[in-house]
Amino acid sequence: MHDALQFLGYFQDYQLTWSFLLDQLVAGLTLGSVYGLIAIGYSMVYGILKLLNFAHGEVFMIGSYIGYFVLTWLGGAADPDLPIAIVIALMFVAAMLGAGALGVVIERFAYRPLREKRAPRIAPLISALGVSFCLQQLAVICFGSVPKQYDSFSFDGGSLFTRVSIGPFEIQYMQVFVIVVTALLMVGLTIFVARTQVGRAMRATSFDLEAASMMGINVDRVIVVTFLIGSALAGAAGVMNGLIFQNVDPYVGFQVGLIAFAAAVIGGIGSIPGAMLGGLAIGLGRAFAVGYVSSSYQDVIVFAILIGFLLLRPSGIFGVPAPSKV
Amino acid sequence: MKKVIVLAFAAVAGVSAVAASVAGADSTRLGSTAAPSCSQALIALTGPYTGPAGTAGLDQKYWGRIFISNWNAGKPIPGVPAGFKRTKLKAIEADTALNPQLAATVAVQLRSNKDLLAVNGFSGSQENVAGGPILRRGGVPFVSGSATRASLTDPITPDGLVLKKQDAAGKILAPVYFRRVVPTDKRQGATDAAFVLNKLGAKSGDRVMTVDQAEAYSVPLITLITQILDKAGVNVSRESQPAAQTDFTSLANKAVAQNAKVVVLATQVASNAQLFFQQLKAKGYKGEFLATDGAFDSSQFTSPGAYISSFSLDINDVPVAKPFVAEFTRKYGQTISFGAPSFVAVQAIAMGISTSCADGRTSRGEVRRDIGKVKMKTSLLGAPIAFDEFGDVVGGVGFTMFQIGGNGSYNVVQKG
Repeated sequence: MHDALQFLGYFQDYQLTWSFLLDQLVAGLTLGSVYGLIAIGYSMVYGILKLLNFAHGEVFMIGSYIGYFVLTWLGGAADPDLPIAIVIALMFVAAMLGAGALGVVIERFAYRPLREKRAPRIAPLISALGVSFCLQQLAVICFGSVPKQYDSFSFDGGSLFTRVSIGPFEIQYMQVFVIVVTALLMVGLTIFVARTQVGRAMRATSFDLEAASMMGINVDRVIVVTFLIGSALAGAAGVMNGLIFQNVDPYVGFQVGLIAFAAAVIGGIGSIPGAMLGGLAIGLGRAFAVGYVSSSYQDVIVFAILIGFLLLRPSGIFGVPAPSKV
Repeated sequence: MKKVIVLAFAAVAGVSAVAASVAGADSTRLGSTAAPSCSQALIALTGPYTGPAGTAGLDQKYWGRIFISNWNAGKPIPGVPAGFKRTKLKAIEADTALNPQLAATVAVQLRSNKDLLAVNGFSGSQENVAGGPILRRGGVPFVSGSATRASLTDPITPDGLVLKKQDAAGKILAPVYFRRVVPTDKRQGATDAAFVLNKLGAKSGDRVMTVDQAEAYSVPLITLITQILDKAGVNVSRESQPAAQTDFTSLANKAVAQNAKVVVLATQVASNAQLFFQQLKAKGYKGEFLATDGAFDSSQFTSPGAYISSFSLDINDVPVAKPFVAEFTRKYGQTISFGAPSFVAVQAIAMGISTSCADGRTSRGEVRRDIGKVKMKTSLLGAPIAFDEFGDVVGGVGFTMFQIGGNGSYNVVQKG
């Protein structure tokens, strides 16, 4: 196989090694984990309200800032006042609580009034874009526009980025951390949605909001919980993004948010596992495009493939085609 | 109560929107219909005061302010002859955020201000590509202290900010509106490539990775460096990563797998250079790392061992600059040196305006012409400054190579 591929004259030796393949796989999984966590928020809100919450990327940005300020408050990465594990745990808790609360506030003041007035569907969409720009500009005013650096490479002299050898490939502790935390959050969310009363109410509301309301479900409460959870996950993704990719600035949420939105659509918008799979697909697509084709065309390659996929399956990986009413 | 809360939220949103709309111009008005004045001439300082290059842009703004305060106070300034009759200056400041669309919007606003005689800027090459033609159509001369893209002053390229009228010998017959006090990327590309070959030891057959950030500044610069290295027989891996995408892990994997001897990154976002270098090191990369002048920011790019090129010297080392550096430090804190050429750019504008005001009247056309005639025997940069017929600097300083030290300081390893 190796010889056959090399015979094609395209691939170079290093590209045909297991270690390079697995390195790109880990890079893609790490990036995809961040996209996936954000995509879940898009998907959950859309599943229940049929609303594209374009402010979600900015919730991710605020979560990342909260993580940064907690880290700074606790002495910074180079010389933290507490053990690293506690510092990181506090960063996650603060970011998830802060981002979750922000999501609830956005729902309460930007979306619910429109819902109560039975505004056309375009109105909350514009409201969402407005909130997105407001948050971006408020971040510029409050935090400045120069990127803040987590400097997580300084944690314990860089030990979190130490590579561990597992068979033919190497992985950094930080990459393991991001992938494992994402998996745990996914499992927790799946159990919550499947096994708890609120989770069942969420599923019922997602299926038919009006019917759920008539069955005695407090729909407003379900929506608040949905925003709380989705935004908290975006906050967690913000901290992960800062820990592994270092920088947070007021504009970081916009592009990442768009990519996560694409991930949610690929996965089948409204589907939680679909959103995560969509995120991983884009992360892996980018990593392999850079590794095996060209970094210059990474987005062209990834999105051309995804467009092709959507042409074949418009409702995404786990999406259900909308019934056509005659 | 509910309505009050909703109204309060709307008010906050409104305030944010207003704040956003004024972010493009953080001082005084941009539009006016009066005529230019020689008693206190109006110019504009522009730069990326917000956004990822905010540190560099603020450094430029502060150096512009330092010049104006010294000029208006009649204090000695390097390159200004004793007895030179000065026209006092007043400046408006406009933020372009390193964003071409915003630069174009600012250019429209500045052009419509009939008081305005000249503009210091734009800072980024892509901003000049977008906003430059608008200023040119308004007859506004503009002098940049940092735009290095070579094609900006090349009349035969689409970017050329000079009019494309030349005689058979290639001599420019039409007015030049854009000038700069920094050398072009042709010089930076050649300097960087020579540094990679001669100082960092890349030889024929070695692998070097060159990375641009998919915008107007970095693509031509990296293309030039790649071409020179190619000619030297170096095996160049040409890569590209948009500036907004801040995960370099896949590229770091590739550099390590290719056993690259040097990685060259052209970027205007210093924190991207920092991240890429850190991710390379985390992957076990053993080679050298060189970033171009756009990453010159000692508060954001602090990785020990990395190299960086810059069109500015370490301004702290220039003897004639010492009192100005002291004033800068007193007023704004430590300079990162990036903005020092903007002092000289504003000086060229000031001297041009003063010359044009000799008869008590002036216009944009006269200022444009007289900026072209400015000749400084020396300057804040410790070198003479004049302009050629295309608007490029004659004299000035070359590209200096720095290496980042253990404490994050930028140490000169090769003078320009």
